[in-house]
Amino acid sequence: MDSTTIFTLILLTFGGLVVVGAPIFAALGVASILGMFLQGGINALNVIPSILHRGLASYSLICIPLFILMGEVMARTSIGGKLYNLFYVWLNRLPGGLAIASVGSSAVFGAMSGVSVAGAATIGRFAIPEMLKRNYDPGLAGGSVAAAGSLALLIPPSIGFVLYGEMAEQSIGKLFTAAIFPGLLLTGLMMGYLYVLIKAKPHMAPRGASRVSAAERWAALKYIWPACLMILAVLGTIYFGIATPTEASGIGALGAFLIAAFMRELSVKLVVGILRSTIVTSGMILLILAAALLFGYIMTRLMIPQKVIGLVAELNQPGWMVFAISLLFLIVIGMFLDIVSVILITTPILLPIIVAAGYDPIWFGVIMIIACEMAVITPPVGLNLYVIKGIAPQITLGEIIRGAVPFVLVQMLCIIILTVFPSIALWLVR
Amino acid sequence: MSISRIPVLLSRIAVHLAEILLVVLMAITVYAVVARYLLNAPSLYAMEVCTYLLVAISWLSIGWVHYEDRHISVEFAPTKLKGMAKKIAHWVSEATVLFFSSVLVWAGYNVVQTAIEKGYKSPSLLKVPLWIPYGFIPIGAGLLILISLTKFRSKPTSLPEANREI
Amino acid sequence: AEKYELTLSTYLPPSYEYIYKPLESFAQRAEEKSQGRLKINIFHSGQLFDGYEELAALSRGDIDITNFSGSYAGGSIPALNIFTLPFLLNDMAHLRRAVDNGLLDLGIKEELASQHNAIILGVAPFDPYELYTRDSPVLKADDFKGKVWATTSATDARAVQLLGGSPTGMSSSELYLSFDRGVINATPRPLITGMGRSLYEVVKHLSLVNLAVDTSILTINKSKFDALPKDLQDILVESARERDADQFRRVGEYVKVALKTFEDKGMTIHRISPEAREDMKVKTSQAIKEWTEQVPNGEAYLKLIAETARPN
Ligand code: NA
Ligand code: NA
Repeated sequence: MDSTTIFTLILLTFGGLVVVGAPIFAALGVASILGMFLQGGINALNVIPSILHRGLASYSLICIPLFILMGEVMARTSIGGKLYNLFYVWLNRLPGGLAIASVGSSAVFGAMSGVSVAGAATIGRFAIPEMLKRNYDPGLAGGSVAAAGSLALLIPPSIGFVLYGEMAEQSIGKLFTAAIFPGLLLTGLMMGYLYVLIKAKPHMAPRGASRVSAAERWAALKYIWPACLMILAVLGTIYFGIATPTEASGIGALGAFLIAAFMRELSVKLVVGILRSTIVTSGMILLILAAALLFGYIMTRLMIPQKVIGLVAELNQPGWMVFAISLLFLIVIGMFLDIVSVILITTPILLPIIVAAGYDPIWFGVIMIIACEMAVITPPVGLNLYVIKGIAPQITLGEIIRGAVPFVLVQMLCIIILTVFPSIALWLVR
Repeated sequence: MSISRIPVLLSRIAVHLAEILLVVLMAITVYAVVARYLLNAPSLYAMEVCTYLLVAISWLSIGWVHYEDRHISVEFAPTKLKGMAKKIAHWVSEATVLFFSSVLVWAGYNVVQTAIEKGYKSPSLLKVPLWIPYGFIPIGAGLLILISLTKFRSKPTSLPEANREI
Repeated sequence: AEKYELTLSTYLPPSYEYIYKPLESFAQRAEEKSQGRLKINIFHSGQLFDGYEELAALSRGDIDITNFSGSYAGGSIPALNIFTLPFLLNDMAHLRRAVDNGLLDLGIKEELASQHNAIILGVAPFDPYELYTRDSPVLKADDFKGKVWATTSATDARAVQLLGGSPTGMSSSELYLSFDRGVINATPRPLITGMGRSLYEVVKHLSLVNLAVDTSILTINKSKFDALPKDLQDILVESARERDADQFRRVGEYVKVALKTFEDKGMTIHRISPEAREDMKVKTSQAIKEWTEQVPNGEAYLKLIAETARPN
């Protein structure tokens, strides 16, 4: 059977199983198993544990359960609520204020971690309930956190740049530096999109009825020291060279417990509940993440993305056209592949063409990472979408997707701006 | 206790174990920082041990996650379908989990056996026999099979009481 | 004639040229010589398997050919740690002489064939492990002390331990940030890692000492190999020999270029005196003793290494 036929069967199987309501991880798994079997027979299935193990036994993923633990403590004590109360009273005149604040929080989180699912899960855990409590549209609440969580990839530190730097033989330091302004730009664009959206459709994010007095605003500030302390603990240990970003997640989790204990908000029952839901959330996220790798493995094995990207290399087109087509292919491949595979497979093939067309490899790294940010929020394999569904089961996946997909256009706009004004990325590194 | 409670009991034990390991993971991560930064005696093993803990946590939890119905899925069929169609959708969905986890048990067992036979060990000073971390795959998938089998008989709409537990 | 399609997997990206190019030429040459009867599909950058899993994947038959790193397989096959034992091999030429004089025939080939269903086609070097230090250079054995060292495998960790440094296991992908933030002070790695991971931006000193020479071992699944007609087997063996020569030649060139680049980027290069190296060698000899106790034929390996220390 040829690889295109196998690929089609894999997609049909996955689609069919998802529609009847099979868990995503199992649908990904069974579709991949079918593909592996058709490609290499029954013995080819023995590779599965090895792929799953490789996916999970990864040091940089340790931050996922630990940051989720931190978010869980914040959500179940008053730490997270008081932070959102502050946003609420200060931003109550701003259309979509809390959603905008969630994007901001995600950007700050992005400076602490390079893992996008950690961003979506941690911020989402306390941000989404706060937004829903104030009658925000569920899709808006879920979609904006799913999209903004991906800022962790672009804002340094970022695992994606470390990987791209090695593949592209580019300075990791320069990549980090080049990403600073695009990261801020994208954050700003996401906020701007939310502002415009809520201006047009105010019912999606109702404003507080009453006017908030200045005294109330200043009073709210008093209660956010625990959140500030925690953020400082994590950022401080990273930027003063005390801990790696991965270790900082452990410090964040322990710090959250200590602060909650100091505020006398911890009980044995609460701790038990926090641990249980952290395990449940982490378990479902990590399992989907691992199953997505099976999907990526069989697609790679069938050489589908390599062939698709290879087609771009053969096009005889002017530079900008090559870039535009490459970008399109990146988006399509990003729908199905995890971001590590996207970077590993496309960089060696695309970069030489892009450089030959006169583009800067550091700049292209930034573009590549923004494309990865799109990949985590595009179905069918969009981890951040599933993460949000996992931590906010009351929102349907359809709502989350509808809420998140417009952000792909925002990311697209960011890429267009960076293409017209490449110096936004490059002026600090030149 | 009836025999039908055993799958749930096993998953419950596993999830408790995972919770303990999560606390250990947090402790080791912080210890690694303290040992290096304050005691000036960095741990040689922290990093590697942490990755195995993550593996263990992931696999030990998945049975319980399924019991709580928290594995992410699209809710089209459960909400839009009625009667027999809904039942069939439920069975197909459960069969998907069952099939996937059976393959994991089978392949996981093979890999564990190979790792023992060929003496696969991690290349660090710890020299961890790799059958141990690999072993969590068939264990986790086995728990998933047990839970999935009990769910086959339950009605598609009924949520286990565990959902409300905490 | 019947056609044979083989899958070659490597965890290294094409940007690691001195390893990747020879591997690519190996595949091309084999295809050409077979006049199209062999087709070798290359998967690079760990698209299929990372470095730690290559041997197991080959052994299972998931892939047919790989060039795994000796140090990654050293946990499962202790004999392979011979290459990274501290200060044992003087340089790459020494490795070449030892291999040409049958180093692999002392048990490694046997063990790979009988235990791991694998046949070694060739061995070629990484450039030697040198010492990257963030703030103060290593010039003598005592300079290992008081530094946190990011290590790759059991052998380099043990060497650092014996020299009084504090080893901590760390994958190359974590190096940049850890150096940048000052979480680690030093690491023993080849120059190619320093280039690939931009270490020149976060590390001030490089001390040249040839701590170890890691290897890139070109291997094929035995069942697959045995099933090939004799002439195709010969073509693979011959192409592998050319790969080895190609890689040895390129590594030599690479070291010169890399050192120049590091200096241009502002790193200071130190050459450790033969006396200081000898002192380090004495202080880490315990590691070699421990290795000998794990490997049945250990003494014979060491004897051969000693005999080939100088060109004759
Ligand atoms: Na980040
Ligand atoms: Na996607």
